[in-house]
Amino acid sequence: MSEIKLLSSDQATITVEKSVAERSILIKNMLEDVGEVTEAIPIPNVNENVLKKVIEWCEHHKGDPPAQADDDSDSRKKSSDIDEWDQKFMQVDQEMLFEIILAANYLDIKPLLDVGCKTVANMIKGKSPEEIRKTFNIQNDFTPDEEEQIRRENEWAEESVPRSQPLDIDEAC
Amino acid sequence: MSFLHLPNEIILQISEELSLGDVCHLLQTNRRLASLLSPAIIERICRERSREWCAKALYSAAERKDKAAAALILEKTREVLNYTEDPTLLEELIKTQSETVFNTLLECWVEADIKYSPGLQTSLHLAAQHGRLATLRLLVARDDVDVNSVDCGGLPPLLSAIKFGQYEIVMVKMLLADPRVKVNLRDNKGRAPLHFATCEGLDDLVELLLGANDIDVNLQDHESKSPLLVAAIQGREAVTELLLADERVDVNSADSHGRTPLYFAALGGREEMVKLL
Repeated sequence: MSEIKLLSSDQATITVEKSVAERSILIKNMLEDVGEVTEAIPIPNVNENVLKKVIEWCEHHKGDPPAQADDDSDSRKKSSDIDEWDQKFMQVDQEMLFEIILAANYLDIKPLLDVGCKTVANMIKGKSPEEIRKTFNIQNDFTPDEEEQIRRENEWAEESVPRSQPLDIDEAC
Repeated sequence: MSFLHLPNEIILQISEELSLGDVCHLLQTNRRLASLLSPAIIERICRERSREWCAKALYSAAERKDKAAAALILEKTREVLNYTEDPTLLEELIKTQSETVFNTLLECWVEADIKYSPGLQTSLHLAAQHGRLATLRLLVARDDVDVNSVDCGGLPPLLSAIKFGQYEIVMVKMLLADPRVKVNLRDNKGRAPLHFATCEGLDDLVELLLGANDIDVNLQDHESKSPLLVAAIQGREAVTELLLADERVDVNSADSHGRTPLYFAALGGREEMVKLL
């Protein structure tokens, strides 16, 4: 089984099975272009810790069927839940979570990017703007007037789409 | 490394995993997120072709009198909110939204006198039928509105509202106050507003119509029935009294078989009515 070497941004060399590394479309294309390589492939945007984490994910998912070329709409919708292993995998601090997302984006590992985005989305769901700010340490840079204006401009999206009237209890019985 | 360090494309992807309400909360946290995600939610409801959401976004902008936003939403949602092709949209707009919303939309795009091919009903018909006073006032005040435009049943707005019993006296007053409104326009059976008012025994409406300029009090329908004759057939005493008090009313106007109001009053055994006549 052939192995390749990756060189992280902080100059750590990591040896990894070629088929695992090829979960990254970036690396896969690179290997196809250059053929056999003996020296380590530099991954300048990703440090050792993050790269190891990403490789861990790739190893676990190396048997996954390859993503369809045009799976944008359908497959993403039906897999809105994150599988258990991935959930555990994503239980890291925010710093690491965002680093993984950026690395997945850079290395072009779409399924990992999806899992990362879903994980962040789950941290936002059901929260008020203030709670979201607290969760992610987002600075409120609005003036009070601007904040009020933004709220008014978007309040239509906050209401749920009107549903049919709920049944009167007496009628239901 | 924090949330705001993520590039726009990734924040947009995260927002795709959220409900509209959640995105809305997210964009309220910070300027950058607001300017990134506000257009994104409009794009999204257009892409999802959700008429309900598009309408909500549009009406909200119009209610705030934000013409620029409303025009933008209209532009982007043209395929979903096609007011010129889908008559139910205009009806819903007039029925459920305030005149502020309607006015903003008129100013940024909707033709006031838009007319639909199936029912040929204009905004004015719809406003009259649904008793939307403020919207009606707005339309009557406009030069580009044909106040006598007839629908496919041959009815102008005034007649249509009265015929289907969906009128308020204030509204009829408002229409009659417009010198362009023709009070003698008739339906396909030759009946004018006064016929319907007498037939249903609507005293206040009869009184109002009798006071209108140019009203023809003896106008006969296609069966040669005058309003007084109709009142006699229906036994409408109060209305008969009102009509008789008007010196223009011809007490002997007969139908095509030569039958007069007195004839019908007697036929119906209506003593009081006979006395009146």
